[in-house]
Parts: sequence; structure tokens; C-alpha cells
Amino acid sequence: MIEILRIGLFSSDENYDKLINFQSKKIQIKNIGTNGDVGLLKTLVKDFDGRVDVICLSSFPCQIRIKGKLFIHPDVEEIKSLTTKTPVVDGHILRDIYFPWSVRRIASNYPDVLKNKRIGFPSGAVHYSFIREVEEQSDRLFFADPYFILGVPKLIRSSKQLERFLSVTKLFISKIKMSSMAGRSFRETTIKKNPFLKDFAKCDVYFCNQTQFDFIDFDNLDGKTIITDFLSEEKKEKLFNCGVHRILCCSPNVVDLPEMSFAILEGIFQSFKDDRAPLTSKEIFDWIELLDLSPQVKESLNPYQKGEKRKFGFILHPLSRDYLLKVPGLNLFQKSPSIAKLAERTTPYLPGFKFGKISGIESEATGVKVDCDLYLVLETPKEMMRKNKNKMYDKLVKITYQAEKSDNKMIGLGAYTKIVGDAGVTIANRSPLPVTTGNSLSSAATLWAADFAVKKMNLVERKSDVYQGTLMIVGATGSIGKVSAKVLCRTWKKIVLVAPKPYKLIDVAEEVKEINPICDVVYSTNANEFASECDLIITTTSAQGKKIIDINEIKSGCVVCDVSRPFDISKEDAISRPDILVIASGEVELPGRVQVNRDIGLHGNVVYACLAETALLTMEGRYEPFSLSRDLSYKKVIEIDRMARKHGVKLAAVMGHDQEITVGEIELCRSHALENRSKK
Amino acid sequence: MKALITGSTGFIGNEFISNSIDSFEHVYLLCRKGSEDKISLKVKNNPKCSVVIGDLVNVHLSIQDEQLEEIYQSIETIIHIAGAYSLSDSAASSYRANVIGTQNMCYFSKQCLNLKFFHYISSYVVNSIYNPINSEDDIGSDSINEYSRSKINAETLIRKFKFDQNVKLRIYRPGVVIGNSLTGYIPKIDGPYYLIETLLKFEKVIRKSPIKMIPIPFNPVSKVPLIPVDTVSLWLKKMIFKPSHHVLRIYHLLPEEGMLVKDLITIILGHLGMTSKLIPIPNNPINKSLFKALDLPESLVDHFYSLSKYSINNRKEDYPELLDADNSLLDSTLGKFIRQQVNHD
Repeated sequence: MIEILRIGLFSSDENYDKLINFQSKKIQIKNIGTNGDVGLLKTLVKDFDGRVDVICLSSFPCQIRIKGKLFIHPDVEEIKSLTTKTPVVDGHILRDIYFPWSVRRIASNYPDVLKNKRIGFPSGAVHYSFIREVEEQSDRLFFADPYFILGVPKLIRSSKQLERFLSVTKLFISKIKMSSMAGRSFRETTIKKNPFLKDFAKCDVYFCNQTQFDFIDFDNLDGKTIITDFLSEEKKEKLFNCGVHRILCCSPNVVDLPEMSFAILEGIFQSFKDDRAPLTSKEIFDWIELLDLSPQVKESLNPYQKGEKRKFGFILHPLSRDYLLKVPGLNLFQKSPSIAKLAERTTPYLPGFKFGKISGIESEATGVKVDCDLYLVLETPKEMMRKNKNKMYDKLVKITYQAEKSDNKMIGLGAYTKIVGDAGVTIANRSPLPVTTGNSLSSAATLWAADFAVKKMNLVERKSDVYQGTLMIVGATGSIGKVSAKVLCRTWKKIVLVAPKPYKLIDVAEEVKEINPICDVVYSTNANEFASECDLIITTTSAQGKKIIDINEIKSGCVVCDVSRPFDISKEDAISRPDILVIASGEVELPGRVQVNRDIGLHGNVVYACLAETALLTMEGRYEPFSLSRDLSYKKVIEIDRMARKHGVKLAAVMGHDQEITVGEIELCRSHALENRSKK
Repeated sequence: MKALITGSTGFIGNEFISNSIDSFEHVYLLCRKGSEDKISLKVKNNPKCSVVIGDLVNVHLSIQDEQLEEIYQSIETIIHIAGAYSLSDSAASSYRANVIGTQNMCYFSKQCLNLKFFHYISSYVVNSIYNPINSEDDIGSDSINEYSRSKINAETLIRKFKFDQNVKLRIYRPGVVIGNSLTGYIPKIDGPYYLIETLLKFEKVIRKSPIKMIPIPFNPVSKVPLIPVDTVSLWLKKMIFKPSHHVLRIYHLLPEEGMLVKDLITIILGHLGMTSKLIPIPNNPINKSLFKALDLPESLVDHFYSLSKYSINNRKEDYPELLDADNSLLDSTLGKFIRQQVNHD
């Protein structure tokens, strides 16, 4: 039988003995914690020398290599030299291979965890081997090494600074006793006293290995994500009690032990060797191959978490001169039109500012509470289009910095601010916060409205969730048209794609076919050709009011969803055919008891779809530039639709040309259509 | 009842076995190689007793395989008395014997197929000396010396340990155990005996001093829970053979009211034939250095100023028939010891 001792500075409450079977050998593992007593640990290591096969050392910083210089803690060096018969391992070889590998896996499997997040390292030195990987994901890294190691409340903000810090303080650090780091406080009260640590406390994600948890004292980790190597159930419980939202453990699942560590695993590998010589990387690779130790990331979410609070920002602007004059303080300019005009021209010179707050948004699924800070710029659409776009970018980016300071997790662009220049791309690149235009949910809301109207009209037969009718998309090669076709091809039997350029149409038709090969896809350059057989028409063109489709050609009882602005179907046309339902968009409502403290033209829980998208992403914790530029991805529309269902964002109303369409009006339209059809 | 008993060569263990071996069906006495001679011949020659050579510091207690199998199969009770007990022990020796030893015993118990009871002898030092009243369920977090720290760690460990479902755990916390009340015998110098030694050492100085006063660091209202080893052994026997229904139960084995430190010293001085008056020195930072200079364990200072009391509710509730320890016995116990010492000198 093989006997392995794992020894460390952790609490002796965690001591255990366990017999495991590994590769058809029996291994007796003994876990001993010395309650922070290094002297006791050294005596015990000497004691066990020769009595066990391998000694695995925990709690000590692993050796690290920075720019060719090797850092080994002097205690580790001493302990390793204390034994003459039993080899001592500390797990660093396995750890240096496995952990960075897992971090890569996290970056690909959980993209929302690291991307553009504030990432904190209580000690960056021990995680040095994969800091570059993390830097690729976010450039906002915070290392508390000076505080953790030396007790100096200072933060390091890049890997370069960290390297400099370590090489300058190397001699000094090596003399520091492990016990002096024990109980290093990251408690709320300590952080309040040390302004240098404030940024550290604001991090969204922390990298902290199992050993560091034995040294760190913390109390408030509300809503944070922790990435670690191994974690016992007890420690997990403690973290969840401190409010941690999510824990990602990157540990290979090889043997079942209450407290695993890379040191034990390396110890097990070492015990299979015939000699005392330390394991080589090659041997570790052989083991990895033999056991198929590809990275496993285990996610655990806080089971108690209800009512976690998060915040996002949203940028608004007045939609017309009238709205501008409603802004408190500007109502003085209402007196005469010329003064109002003056106000419209001059107010854009003012910087953006925090204007109001939306509170009470609460996810139905997770209970996460979300607040929104509203920011206002004073440009009317006319002024915004006239303004130099770089100046507009500057102004909006300044707001994103302001929002970041007030702890917002991300920011949404409202109304025309998302149309300026390249539709959010430049702003997102320059902003410290993830930016979204909210276009994915806007599209989804329109499709919800169309679907709602078709269902209420109840004139199309439905078999196993597929409408047995025809859908036409006018402007199918445009961004919204393409997305609509790709999303709706799953639920319609036949789709007609209409656009002026046939070569573009062929591509779109092929893409749609790829998504749903059973769907009957036809295309045409003339909308009127198939108008008489369609049950739903979505028009999204840039025809600038030109008549694209003849209202008289349209089938009775058809729903027309006009997404183009200006409208493709004029108000007069719509009135002339009471048997056709023309809708313009869908409005969405947020879950919870939503309260807006300023008049921004919203009532009850109803909000702009783009604001709702930002709220949804915040609820989901997906702080990322979800919708940017003018290109929409249908996958994102489907994804935001899933998130909306999950968190309880719903269609609030179907909008017509200038007002809400009630269910009564839809009923009336339906009866007109039925009458018309029976006449024919 | 078939039992495995550890620490049978120790102070409490020896007394306990001598008194209760006849009540057992069979006992296995675990002792280290070379220590078996410390077990009295009377016990060793008893047919109910098997001496098992092993060492607590190793996982399977280093017991030989044939005997190990027999023990795993037969024992129903483990009585774990062994431990390193000294106020001046180093961290490593306390930890090795008390924490690792207990950890190994716990693991050992998992292999015993018919085990029903695990009796563990802890100590009253696991209580906090700063608590005015320590209940049986409390466990201190502050330790005054390596010994108490290791006892706290060991008791925490055993209370957290997941025993098999049908195993019941008993924890006994004896107070300051002094010699046998009939013979006065104590195998080694400890606790109040340090004081006797020191006073003996300075006997001549005290006697010759014209001022009949001795300044000693202590609090006049502090009490020490002294208890003779034969009382502990008697109580243990009662509790082990007539267990309550609880799955986990902790008992303080000490008198309801401890003895005033002042009385203790006066008794000792009386037996030494001295009549000097005691002057209590208030607690101050140099006390510990003073004790060290006098060859007394530093942690004795904490005991001499402690105002803690220890609850004995569990004992009263489960064993109302057990009379409280008689403090008047202490006088004669210490007296016998001192006479032996003086005669010896």
C-alpha cells in the first residue's frame, strides 16, 4: 500500500484519512493541517520522513518563473531539504500545465465570465503562468500583491507592473514569513479605510487558489465570480454565504477526496515512480494522456442568492424639440419658437449628465434585481445628425466613463445615439464598459408583435408549431430582413424573399435553406407577385416612402408588419383596407415593479426594447457588447428571445402607425377579413 | 463489553483499568513497544486482558495483522485515553500525540465492524478561560499553551468526524487531575504539583525570612477545578458502563465548585509547616517571566487568574446518583504527597 501525507498550514479541522483506489493500487492519504504553524509543520515533515511514500506540501506559494528568474519561497526550499528518504512535492508542475489550460477553456466555454470584466487577483504572482491568457480577455486587471504579500495597500494594474514589482522586491519578499500573511483582511471595513483597494473590491471576477483562501479574510463578495482550482464543500458554502454569485473550479476529477489539490495529485503520480527523483513535465504529460485529464470546469451557482443587485446605464436624448423643452430647467425656453430653436442649437454644447433612475426591475427566474441609471445628452435627432460624429463619440464615451464610476455593469445606447457613425462599434471600443445597441431585442420584439397579431387574427392553420401559410419578407437582404427570415423560417411553411438585387437574394435563400431545409423558400424582385397569397408580410426597406407594395394586391386577413421608417405602407393605405392588420412595432415590458423617477414618456413597466435588452443582459450577467454595428445576427436574436422568456421580459403592446392596437381592433379587422373572404 | 483502550500506561488509564478490568468481557490494551512493563502484573495476568503492541501515531496503529483483524471483528467500544499531557510540551509533541493520535483512532474506528461507542478523554482546557461559564457544548478558540491548543484541535476534529451511523460518541473533560486520594500517589509532577516543588525549593528562604508574607501572583477569587484521579476513574466507569441514550454527549469531570487558588496554596504551605501570609499580586505582564524564572509553567498564570466556571449539567442530568467531588479529599491527597516528598528528600 502506498501512503501519502498531505501537509499544510490550513486548519486541523480539515484533517482526514482516506483510502483510495487508483490505477489498481491502494493509496492511504493522510491530511494534516498545522493551523498556520510553520515550525510545527517542519517538525512533522521530519517526523514523517521515511514513514510515508510521498509528502505533498500545501499552503505555500508555488514556485514561479518570471522572465527567466525563479522565485521559490525559502520555506518551501527548506522543507524540501528536510527529508532524506521521502520525496516532497508541491504540485507546481501539474498546476502550471493544468490551470492555464483550464483558463483557456473558461474563456471559450463561458465567454461572459472574463470578457471585458474587472478581474482581481489577491496575488497575481502565483497566477503568473496564465496572466497573459487573462489579459487577452480583459485589460482591466487588478493585482493586490503589494497588499497581500507586504501589507502595503497599493494596487498593480498590469502584468508589466507586476513583473517590475516582483523583481524589485524579490529579496525582501523571500524573507517574509508565511504567518505574516495569514488573515490578510479584504473585509468591507478594511477596504473602506484603504482607498487604494477600492478598485479591487469593485472587481467582478477574482482568481484565487485554494491555498489563498486559507490566508484571506473576506466578508462581502456580493455578486462576484470566483475562479479557483479546488474547493472543498465547506469553503464553497462559506463563499456562497458571503454572497458569491458563481464559482468556477478548474480541477481534474481523478480521485474522490474531501480536499483535493494539485499537490496531492502530483504526489500520487510521484508515488508510482521507483525513485525519489522529481517528476518531469514529460511524465506529467504521460499521466494527463493516460487519465485523459482535459480541463474540466465545474460551475456552481449560489443556491441562496435572491435579490442580488446590479446596475446598468442607458443613454437617452430628446426625440424632438418639444421633448427637449420638457427637460427640467429648459422649460423656460418654451416661451417663443425662436427661443426654443436657440435652445435646440445651444444645449448640445453641454456635456451629457445623469438624468434619472429606473428601479425595481427584478428577474422572474433568478430574482436578480436590476437598476438603471439614465444618462441624457441634449442633442435632438436633427442636431445629432448635423454634429461631427467624432465629437458625438467623445461625448458618449465620456458618459460611459461616468457610468463606470457609478458601478454600472454595462451601458445601452438609446434612440439615435446608436445610429451615429458606425452604430456603436467605436464607442464600444473606447468605452470601459460593454456597450450594446439593443437592436437584437428590438427585432425580437417586432417579431413577437407579428406573431401575436397572426395568432390573434387566427386565420392561418398551425401544425406542430409551424404556420401552414406563406410569409413574405420585403427587403430580405437587409439586416433586419435577413434576421427575420432566418428566425421565422422555423415556424413558417413557405417563405417569399423579396429584394431588388437577385444575386443577394440567392445567398440569403441558401442561408435560410441551411437553417431549415424543409421550409419552402422562394424569392422574387417584385413584392406584388406573391402579395395575394401571403398571410404575414414583413417590410423592412430603405425605400424612403416610395410605394413598394400595392395595398390592393394584399390578401384579405394578412398581417403586415412595417418595420421601415418612413413607413412603406402609409397611414392612408392602411385605413383603406380595414381587413388587413398593419402593425409597426412591438413594445416590451420589464418584470418587477418598475419605477422611473423622470418623465421619459414611459408608463408602467413598458420600456424601449433597446433598454430592455441592456436590462436582460445585466440580469443574465452577460456583460458584453451583445448587439453592435448594423449587422444583426439571427443567433443573437434567438438568444435574447430565450433570455427574455427566462427573465420575464414580455411583449406589452402591438403598435400601429401612431398608437397601440387593441385586441378589439384586431377582432374587428378579423371580422372584416372573414366577411371579405366569404364574399369572394 | 469488549473494548480497545489506549493510554493504559498513563495516569488516568492505569487507574481506570485497575479499577474496572473485571467489569469488561475483554480488553485490548494498546501500548507502545517497551511500555508494556508499565502495566501492572495484576492487570497483565488477568485472562480478560490482551496487550496489543502498536503506536497511535501511525494510521493502522502499527498493530500486527492477525491481532488487527481480531480487534476489528470483536470490539464494541473504544476508550481513547492516550494523549500527551504536560503544560510545558512543545507544539509538535502535543500535536503528534493529541491531534494525529485522535485522528488515527477515528479512522481506526471506521474499520471496526461492531463498534457502538467511542469514548474520548478530552480535558477541561478546551474551554475558554475567558468565558465566565463554559457549557459542555462550548469549545474555546483561544488557547493558553500548546497542550490546550492540541486538545482543542483534537476535540474539534473528533466532533466533526463522521462516525458510522450506529456509533455513539462520548467526550469526557476531566479537570486538573491530582493524585490518588488514598495513597497520594501521582506518577509525574504536573499542575499544582509544580507549585509544591517550587515551594519546597524555596523552603529555607521562606522559613528564614523575617517577614512572614509570600507574594504570589494569583487572583483571590480564582478557582481551580481539582479532582483526584480515583474519582475520575470511578465516574468514567459509571458513565462507560451505563451510557445515556444520546448520540453525542459531553461531560465535565470536575467538581461543581473548584478550589480557591488561595486555599490550595494555604493547604500546601500548611502541609509544609509554614504559616506565612499570602499576598496576591495582581495580574501583570511580568508574571509569566517570573513563573519562568521559578521553573513554573507559564500557563499556570492563566489558571491562577481565571474566573471561568464549568457547567456540570449533563452529568447531573444523566447521573444524578454521582455525588459531587469532595474538595476536602484534596487536602489529604496533597498532604500525603507532600509528606512522601519531604520524607524522600
